[in-house]
Amino acid sequence: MPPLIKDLLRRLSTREFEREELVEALDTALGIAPGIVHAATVLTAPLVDDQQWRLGSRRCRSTLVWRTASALKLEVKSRHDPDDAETEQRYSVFGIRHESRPAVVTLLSFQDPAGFRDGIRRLVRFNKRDLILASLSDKRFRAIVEAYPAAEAFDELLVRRASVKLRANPRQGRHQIGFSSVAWPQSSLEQAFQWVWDNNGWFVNLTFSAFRAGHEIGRFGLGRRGEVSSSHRFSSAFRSLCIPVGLTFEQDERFFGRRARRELQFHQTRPLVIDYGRGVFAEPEMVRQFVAALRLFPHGPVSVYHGNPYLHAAVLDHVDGSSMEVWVASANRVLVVPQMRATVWGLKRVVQHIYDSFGEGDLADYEPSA
Amino acid sequence: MTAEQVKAVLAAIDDYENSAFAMIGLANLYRFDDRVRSFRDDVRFFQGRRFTTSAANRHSPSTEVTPDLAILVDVEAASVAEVKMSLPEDRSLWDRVVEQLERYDDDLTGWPTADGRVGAHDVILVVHQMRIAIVDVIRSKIEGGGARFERPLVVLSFIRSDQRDMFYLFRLEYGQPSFVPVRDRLASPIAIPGHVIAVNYGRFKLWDSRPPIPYLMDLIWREVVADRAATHDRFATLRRNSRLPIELSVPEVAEYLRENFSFNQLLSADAADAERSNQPTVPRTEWIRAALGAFVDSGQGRWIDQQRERCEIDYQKQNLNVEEFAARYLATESGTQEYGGQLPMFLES
Repeated sequence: MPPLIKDLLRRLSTREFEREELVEALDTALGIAPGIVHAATVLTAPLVDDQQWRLGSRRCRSTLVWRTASALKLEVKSRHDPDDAETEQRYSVFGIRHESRPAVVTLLSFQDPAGFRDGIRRLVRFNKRDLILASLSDKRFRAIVEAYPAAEAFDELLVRRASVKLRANPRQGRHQIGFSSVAWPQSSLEQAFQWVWDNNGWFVNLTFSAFRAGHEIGRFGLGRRGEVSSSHRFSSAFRSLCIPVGLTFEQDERFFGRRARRELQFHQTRPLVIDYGRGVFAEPEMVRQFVAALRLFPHGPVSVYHGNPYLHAAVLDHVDGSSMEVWVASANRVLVVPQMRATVWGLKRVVQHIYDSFGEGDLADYEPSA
Repeated sequence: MTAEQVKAVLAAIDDYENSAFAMIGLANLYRFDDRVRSFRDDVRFFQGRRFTTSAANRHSPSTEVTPDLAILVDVEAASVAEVKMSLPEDRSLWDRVVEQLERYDDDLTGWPTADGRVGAHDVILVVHQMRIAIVDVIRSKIEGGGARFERPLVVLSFIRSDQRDMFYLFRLEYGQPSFVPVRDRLASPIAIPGHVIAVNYGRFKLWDSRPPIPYLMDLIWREVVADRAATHDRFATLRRNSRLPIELSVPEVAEYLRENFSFNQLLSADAADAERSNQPTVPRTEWIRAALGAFVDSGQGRWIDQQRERCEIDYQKQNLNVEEFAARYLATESGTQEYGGQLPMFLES
């Protein structure tokens, strides 16, 4: 191993960094040796720092190695058999706090895909309530990717690899399908987005090359859950992908916040609507399709009181105990009526599930009328 | 327990909900002011309120009656209403409904006014449109002298329409409401949008009639058991097969549901005793005891006292939904007794 890289790796494993130093060190590392930084941006609940990042259980747990004002390093121990210490793997994970909101942290692994897959992802999965991953709608996903070239002065982005999910389409007798594909040779972003739109799908992950003056600057990726990868210049990916992903937390808090009946005067309801802007539920078959999609909610039970031709269902989110009712009582929209406990992220999980499995619409406050 | 029996439970839940929807719809008829396209804030409605008939009542002098809905519009107007989503198949039994309405045609006391009375009130019957034949029964009884009403009698029909946008259609079938805005609104059939019902139902889920027990189990599971479990230290890391015991007491669950899910939650905490006693306590403690007992009987918890006042229900992160609760209830002795036999086509509400 060249001495430069050796020295850098030694520094990464022994020194404590602030945000800018860590980003610079990663840029340098990626500049002198091939590798990839994999990152996931999470909103941390207050207890995460209170408990010094001592999270999880025997299956996957983290301990704090060091912490500075703007960065941190964790050791993540991951076991696939919680009773067998032999199956334990240890990973080093860095965390970079976002300047605008220190509770938002980008967790990353360097040159260690397993550290991301088996360390960061598992840690987040077993601590869903306290380490909240972003969930990007098609619109937000596209907006972040499309803003990237201008923000970083790239001439163009070409799609290299995509992992796609296609929503179910009852008219074509199609169930929801997901597949990875490398068959995106040199397609532009516009072509790629047009394709998923035409096929009623969404990108689980999109990997693209960034070009400047005809040279490939690096290969970057963005996932639906805000996961970012970068083969070069992580600083650019952090600035223009991770930070916009981190800002979505605040947008979600603004829209989904203060809807729990317990927080409202007289315990009123403060519903929200997903407006599809067209008569998507005009045919009863589509209501049935929506019911089938809703029942697949992965985080808790769905009680369907009436399924056709209108829908009245109640959803419980096991992640944080949020509860809400879901109605389809008009051709254009879905009505979500939060109940006594309804957190931002509980509501967001249900809405995102509807987006992922059925279709995206425009979110709005419910306006009462007779 | 068969899929058909589960379906029967779900149908009973649907009936229970539909009655609530009819009451919400009727209240909305009074609450919404067409002139200014907004809700009047001087309309109060009371579900299952207790009234006392006068000594001159033709059928039940000086006794207690509990119409499904009482509506009071400031000092302008008042109505008492009975909602019948279903009626016995045997039409000779419909006379009882007419008799029930006649009981309400009286100088009832128990209104939330200084002297407990109102100047006058309408008597309203709301029936499902499939049962508007009752109008002929009422008309012929009145014409034949078999029934007599001194106050305005109004019959409205109610049906859900599943057009492009779902709505509930109210149509005036008999009489004229005294309250002019409602009379004007009912000049032609009036549609209450489904979303209006849905949003109100978000708060008003329990009324003065015993709900199907699986419906109550489902509500308690989400709104009480899971809600309390979520505040527990073990909640976040609770594994799928692990159980988290949540201690509950029958009166406390009943009070919580009354405060947050019954039609009468708006009764202020400092309401006078007399006012409080006029309102039914919904849900009743025996319903809650039955629902908690069904959790216990289906292995999801245990009583921790002999009086069956306190229990522990085990919260689990499993797919327990209304269908599962229906299946579990049907497997209990109470469920077998309640749904074990063939259900009649039309249940009397």
